[in-house]
Amino acid sequence: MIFQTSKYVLKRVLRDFISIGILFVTPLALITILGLIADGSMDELLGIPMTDSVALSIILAFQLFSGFYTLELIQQDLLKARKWRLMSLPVSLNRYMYSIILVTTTYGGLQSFMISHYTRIVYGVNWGSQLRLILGILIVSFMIQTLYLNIALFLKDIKTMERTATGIGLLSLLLGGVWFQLPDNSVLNFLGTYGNPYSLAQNILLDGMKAQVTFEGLVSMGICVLLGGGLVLASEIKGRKLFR
Amino acid sequence: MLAKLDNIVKRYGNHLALDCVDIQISEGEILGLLGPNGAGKTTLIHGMIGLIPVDSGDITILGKNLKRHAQEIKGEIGLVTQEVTIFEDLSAWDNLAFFGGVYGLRGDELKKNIEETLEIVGLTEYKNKLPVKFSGGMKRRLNIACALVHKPKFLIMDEPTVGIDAQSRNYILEAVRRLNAAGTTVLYTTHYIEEVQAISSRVVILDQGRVIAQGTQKELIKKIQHEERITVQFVESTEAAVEEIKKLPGVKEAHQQGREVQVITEVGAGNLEQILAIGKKFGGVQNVNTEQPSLEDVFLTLTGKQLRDEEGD
Repeated sequence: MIFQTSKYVLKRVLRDFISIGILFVTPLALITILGLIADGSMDELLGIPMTDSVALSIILAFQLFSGFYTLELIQQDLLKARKWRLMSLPVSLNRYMYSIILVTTTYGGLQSFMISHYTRIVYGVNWGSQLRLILGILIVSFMIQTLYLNIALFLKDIKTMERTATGIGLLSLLLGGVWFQLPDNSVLNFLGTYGNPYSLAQNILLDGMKAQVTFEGLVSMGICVLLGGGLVLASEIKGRKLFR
Repeated sequence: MLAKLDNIVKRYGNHLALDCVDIQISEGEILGLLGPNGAGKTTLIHGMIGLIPVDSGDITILGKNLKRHAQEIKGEIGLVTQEVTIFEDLSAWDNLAFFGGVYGLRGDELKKNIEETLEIVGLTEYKNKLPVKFSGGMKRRLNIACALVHKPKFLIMDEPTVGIDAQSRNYILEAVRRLNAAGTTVLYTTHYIEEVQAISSRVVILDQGRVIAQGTQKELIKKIQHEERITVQFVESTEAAVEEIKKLPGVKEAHQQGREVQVITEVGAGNLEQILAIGKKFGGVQNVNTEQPSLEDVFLTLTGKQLRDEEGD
């Protein structure tokens, strides 16, 4: 059932030109402009060239907000009038939820992967092993989509969902030090390293870019996988209550 | 018996949405479920196919108990929702392929069913178009098609014609008749009396969560028919004729307005010929009209309100 419905979810996502504009075209444009501005200097904090750092930040920032694909689809299909139609079908709606997650995880990941290719071709950004890059992007994408799935299922009204999702995205960027470095203290250091989706994703992809395996990278990957799994479990339980 | 609802009760807090509802639906019939907005029609439909839990009562559909066989029952029914719930970003064909696929149809069988369903609702030439470009009536027809693609034994239609033009409405009613003729049992809910009159073999009237009457249209009309109305238009205005009519056996009242006289008689009084004879005696009769109570009168008598009073609630 998951694969049967996935192709129609994919068709719908591919026809959502506004989201494509925001989540695919905008980061491409931003990277193009900022890549021109960035000189050949190094980002001392990350230990990679500034152009690579800009590409990494923008890809991850927009990856965070690709969770809105899931939020939008869950809202349209399972939280408004259409849910009665879908609930009348002889299948579990939880399975349908996962067909949405399958598509948005792959699609969101694919968008990031395509943007990374663009930066490799245009600015020579070094992303390291392609396999590690794809795996890293998919793990991050999965965690983000399941996070947004739970936001949609656990919060009651649509405005609160959208505000919470935006808030989580912006807070992650803040904690990840995208705009400025946060004060040096143990709590903020922890939150800035493992306490938000942006930093976890950065730790994973940075290891690949630098062709290394670090404790931070491994722990981040572990957190993402566990968090993603935990969020799937939470959505399964909540989904059964909502769509029994 | 295709479906049997026994003593169904549903509460929302202190509000009793369904109050001991008993309905039986026979195989092959079109049952019209008539009631104003807020009567509990949608709640009843959602309850009877397990979309919302009911507080008490038993539901049997196609010989299976809903509590134990909900998924199996869902596979045999088609639900046309009150709101249009198609995917506007998928073509008409893809909409049907989505729903058909979920019902387990694959390959040639799915293709054949989609083609037949599009034909039934008259959307064959629009099969590759996105519904976002459809008129309201076309969207409603596609909404119905999505519930038909797996050829359900039992079709439940929840106000399928709300907000559409007369032409699309007639098209939908005709499609329902054809489906029924092909063997599909239909539960048709609406607050439009003329639709129920046009297609239903039996009618259930629901008001404030209670079944207040059920039966064929004739049976329901009989329930409230205590008098007959005869309107006679004389060639000349004459009070003497009215006075003579009033004296006829079975005549309850006679009112004159110009050359027109309205006569109210007991049911089966059979004095039309005598009234015409009086008319002839006093200069002749130009026109005569006898009125039978309608389903609207049944509703008005049983509930004390007009169906359309509540429209738009």
